[in-house]
Amino acid sequence: MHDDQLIDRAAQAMTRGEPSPHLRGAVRARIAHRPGRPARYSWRPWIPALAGAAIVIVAITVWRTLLEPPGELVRSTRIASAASVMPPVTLQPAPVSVRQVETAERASGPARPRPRSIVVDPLVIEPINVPLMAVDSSAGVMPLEIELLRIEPLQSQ
Amino acid sequence: MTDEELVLLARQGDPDAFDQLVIRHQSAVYRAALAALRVPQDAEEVAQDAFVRAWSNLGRFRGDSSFKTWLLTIAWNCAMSRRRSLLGWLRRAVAMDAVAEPRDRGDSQDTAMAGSEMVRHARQAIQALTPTLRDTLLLAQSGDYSYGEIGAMLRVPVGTVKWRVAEARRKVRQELAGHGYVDAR
Repeated sequence: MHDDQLIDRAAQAMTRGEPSPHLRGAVRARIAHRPGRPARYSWRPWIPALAGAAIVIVAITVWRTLLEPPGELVRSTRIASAASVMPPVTLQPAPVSVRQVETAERASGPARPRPRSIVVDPLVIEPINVPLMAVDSSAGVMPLEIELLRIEPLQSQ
Repeated sequence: MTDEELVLLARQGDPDAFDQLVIRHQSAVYRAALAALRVPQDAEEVAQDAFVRAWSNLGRFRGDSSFKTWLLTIAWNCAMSRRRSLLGWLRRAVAMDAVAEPRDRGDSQDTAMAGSEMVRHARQAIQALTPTLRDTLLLAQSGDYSYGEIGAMLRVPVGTVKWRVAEARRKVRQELAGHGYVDAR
C-alpha cells in the first residue's frame, strides 16, 4: 500500500459515519418550537429600535453642545433643573411710590459717571522725503510718487 | 427541485421544504462536524444546531454561494464553538479512538493485521498534526467537499487549502517514516 493511499484510508476512517435517523426528526421538532417563519430580525425586533433611539439621543446631545456656548448650556441646564424642583410661584406686582424709588437710589450710593465718547483726531502721516534715484527713462519706468496717507480713527457705535 | 427553490419555499415558512434540505445535506453537515470534533455524539448535536441556526437565518442567505456552502459554513462555526468549550474538549480526550478502524477484507490474516497497524499509525500521525492542517486534510479526504467549499468553511483561499493538504500529507509521511514505514513506490 502506498503512503498516499494509507493516509487517505486513515483520514476517511476518521470522518466516516452517518447521522442517526433521529437527526431529521430532532431538527423538525426544534424548528416547530420556534415561533413564526424565519425572518432576518424576527428573533430580536427591539434591537434596531433601541439603536435608533440611542443614535437620536446622541445626535441631539452633540448638536446642542456644538450650538450653545458652554456657559449657556450650564445655565440653561441649571435653570431647567431648578424649575423642575421648585414649586410654581405666582408673582403679583406691588405698587411702587416715587419716595420708595428715591430711597432705593440713595441706598445704592452715588451714581457712577456715565462714560463719555472719546473724540480722536485723524492721524496724518506725511511721506518721507526720499531723494530720487536715477531712473532709466529708456525702459519706460516712471518714478513712484508717494501720496499723503490719512488714517481715520475707528468710531464706536 | 433545486436547493434555491426549496430555500425560497422555506423562507415563506414551509417546513417541508426545509425538511428536504435537511435530508439532502445531513450527511455532509454531520461529517464536517465529525471531522472537527471526532466524537459522533458531538457531531450529531452540532449538526442539529447547524440546521436550526440555518432555519433561523434563512433570511440572511443572499445566494452569493450555494446553499450547501452556506450551510457547511454555519456547521463549521458551530463545530468550532463546540470544540472551544471545555465539555467538548473533555469528551474528545476520553473518546479519541471512538471511530472504528476499517478492517481489510480478502487478504490473509497477516496482511490484514499489517494493514490495520499501518492505518493506526497513520491515524496517530494525523491526530498529531496541528488543528489547522488536520482539519483541512480530513475535510479534503472525506470526499464530501470541494476545495472551494473547504475554503469557504475555513475562510481561506483555495490555494491555501491545497497547500495545507500537501503540507499535512508531507508531515504524516515523515511521521510514518519515523515508524520504519517506507513507501513501496
